Amino acid sequence: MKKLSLLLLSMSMVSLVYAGGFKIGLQGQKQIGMGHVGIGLAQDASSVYFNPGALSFIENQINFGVSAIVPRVQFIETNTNISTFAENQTFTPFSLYANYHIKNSPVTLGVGVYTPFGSGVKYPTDWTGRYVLTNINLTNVFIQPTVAYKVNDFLSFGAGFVYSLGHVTLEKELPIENSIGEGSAKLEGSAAGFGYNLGAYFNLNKRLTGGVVYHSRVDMKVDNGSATFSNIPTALSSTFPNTTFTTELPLPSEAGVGFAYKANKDFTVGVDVNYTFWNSFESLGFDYADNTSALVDDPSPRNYENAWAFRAGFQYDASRRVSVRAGAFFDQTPVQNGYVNPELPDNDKVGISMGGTYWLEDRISIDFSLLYEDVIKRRDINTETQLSGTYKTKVIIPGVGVSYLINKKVKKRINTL
Amino acid sequence: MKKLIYISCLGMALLAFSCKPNLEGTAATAGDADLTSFVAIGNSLTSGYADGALIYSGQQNSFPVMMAGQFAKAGGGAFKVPYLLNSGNGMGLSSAGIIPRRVLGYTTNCLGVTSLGPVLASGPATTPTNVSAGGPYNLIGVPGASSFHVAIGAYSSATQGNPYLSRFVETPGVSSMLSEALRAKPSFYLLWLGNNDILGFATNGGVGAISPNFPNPLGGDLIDPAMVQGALNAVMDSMANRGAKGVVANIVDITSIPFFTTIPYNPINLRQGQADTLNAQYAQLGITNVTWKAGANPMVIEDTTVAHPTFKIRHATAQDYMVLTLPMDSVSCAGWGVLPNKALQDQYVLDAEEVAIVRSYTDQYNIAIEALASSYGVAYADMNKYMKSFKSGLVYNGSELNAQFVSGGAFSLDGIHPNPRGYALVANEFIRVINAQYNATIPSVDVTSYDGIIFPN
Repeated sequence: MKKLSLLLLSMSMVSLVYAGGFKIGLQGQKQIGMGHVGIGLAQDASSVYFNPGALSFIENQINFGVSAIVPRVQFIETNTNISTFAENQTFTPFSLYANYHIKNSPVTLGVGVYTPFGSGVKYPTDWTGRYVLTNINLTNVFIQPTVAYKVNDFLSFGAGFVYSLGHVTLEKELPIENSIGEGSAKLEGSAAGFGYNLGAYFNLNKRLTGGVVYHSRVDMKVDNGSATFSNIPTALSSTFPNTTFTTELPLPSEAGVGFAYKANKDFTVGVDVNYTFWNSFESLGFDYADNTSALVDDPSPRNYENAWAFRAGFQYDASRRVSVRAGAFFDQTPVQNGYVNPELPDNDKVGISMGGTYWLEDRISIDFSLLYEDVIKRRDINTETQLSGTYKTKVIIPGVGVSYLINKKVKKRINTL
Repeated sequence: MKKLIYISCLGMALLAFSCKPNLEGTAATAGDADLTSFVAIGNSLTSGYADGALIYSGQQNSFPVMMAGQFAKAGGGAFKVPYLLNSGNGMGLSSAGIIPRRVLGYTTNCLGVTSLGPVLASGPATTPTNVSAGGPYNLIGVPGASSFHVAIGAYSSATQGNPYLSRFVETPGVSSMLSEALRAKPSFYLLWLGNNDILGFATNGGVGAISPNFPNPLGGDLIDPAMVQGALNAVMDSMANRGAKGVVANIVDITSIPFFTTIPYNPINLRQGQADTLNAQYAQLGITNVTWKAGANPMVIEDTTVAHPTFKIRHATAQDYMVLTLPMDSVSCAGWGVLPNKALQDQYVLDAEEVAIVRSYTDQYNIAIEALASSYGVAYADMNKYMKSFKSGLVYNGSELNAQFVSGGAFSLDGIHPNPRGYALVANEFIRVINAQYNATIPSVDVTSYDGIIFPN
């Protein structure tokens, strides 16, 4: 017995993973106010994201917005009845857009800096799922120079080039223990990727507008991520060497179509339908520079499914200075049963929103938005980690923005023919 | 319109304040079971014995204590444990008397190789004190107890009996495990006895007697299935007479536990020259059934059925199990298992024939236990099947647990008893079968909240 040498631990690191249905629908304060509708509705320069084709019909302007995401996540483990709340965190995605019509030309230039993907959940370090995840933080910025070409007063096309920057942090506890406590692992890395954004916008008649849009897939490559391990017992230090890793995270492509109808001079309604090609996210693997029995490159399955989203909203121009908005959406989850996990406890979700704009003067207006998201309660057993329980997430997202019109000329709040 | 706006503003504000999810779990209920007075009767497994000793922290992490904690959420009452509160490193059973528990530590072997493995904790063992004044106790887990000890009063004798038992019974030498259990007025019981009826024989390499009339299980005797059946029946009959229901568990196949599966049968690595030398030596003695080759070779073990007049030895096979107490230093440096006159003695090997006997006895015990559970209408915990899932490996909330010694994370450093995390899985399996039998909804324990193996920093 004395001579028995210690066998190496064969713990899998594969469950360290990046976020799930991790898209953020907060790309423009006015659009948030009406259920994030914006494909067939030329609201403002945030059309750089929503539909580059619409830029031809937008007054030259600059729009800035910021939101505060305050998610509350609860998990009740099925077998133990133990309830865990994720720690309170606030995330602040932002957007900045501008467009400019080249004089005597059908060309409009635009640029956008926005954050279409991201995720963050932090669990107590002693919670029952800590070997799966204790913390995930995924941040991402798209920078998109854009050109729109106006064919005629009825039709315009737009195209944008997307350069994406991101950062990912993942932490979990390890089931190895010494007198101080458990070991932990942290994966951290910066990523970059490229893509594009195409759109077409139609003025179908004086009341009805429409658009189609395609956002390409962006593969975020992490080239030199760092894997660091803390409080590893000396006997196992060679099994958990601090090392580097590479990985690739696909941000999915998406197609969308939308329409807006101007019922009268004060009242506009809009609808969007999005279809996101989440099936590109089949698995996530980390390729470690040093492989050991604990650091293996096996990918962890995600097997996301393509998902629909349906959005509707209205805007009412109440007075010369005030517009108000409201809307709602239904967002289908890409996460199949058996794959729900704490990195993003996803399910179909329902959002309701409201917002408004107050014109300080002819050039400057302030936008307000408030969005409530209810992720429908979901019970699942993860096939990989066996973590079994019911997840529930509620999110409240207040936001504020400012718009500045470059040319002092405001005829219409929403641009139609 | 303005009114609508005000109302929706108010609505959103309300949502903002009600933003915290409020999921509720399933309510804990006892169903048809009466958990007001729970008594657990068993051997070392039931006592919380781990790392080769019984110690206060181990008792706190025993599966009956975990279960009682969950029962309390469904109407369960107090659960008294005869805790070993004295200082010391635990109270371990050994032929050399009471020894401390094992911890992971570094040792250097005869070849000068230092490695991490189980070592005896430094410092004295725990000297038990008598706690009978605090009785009756709900946890009657007695390390070393075989099934037939359960109703024997002499087994609690302070001088001749079991020191784990004598320290908490009402009248040493008179009170039995069963009488102590009944004194606690059980409404619900757990019975898991019979492991030692096989284990003594198996851990001693099958040197003991098979089905003797007056067995000494710790001395290595194998207990007759009829005797096990009779002992368990006596307990269950007494419980049924009280109207108590409960759960009875079966016996674990010894090849599921690391004590028998850790040391390989073929650890002898040779170069061609070494093999040639050994082959010449064996040939000189007229031993024809042993040959050595370059690479991994099986050890040689004693086998009385071999025809050779002097060297009744043969190579071990994958069907022969080496016990964890085999001194590997002697294999590495003293020629054990290699030289013709150093074949492994019977006590270190549970050979294929003995394994077959042990398995046959395990099956017979388990058939009897299942029949008893059925006839008394109590829950039946198939721990044999459950512990086999340890062997194949299981995943609990993202951590992998298996029956590998030390690294598997479920067994303690003695290779026989689970560690607290392994005991938590056992507790949950008992709770699962109790819930199924009695339509109860007793919640499981959080396995991750219990320690696994503690490494040196």
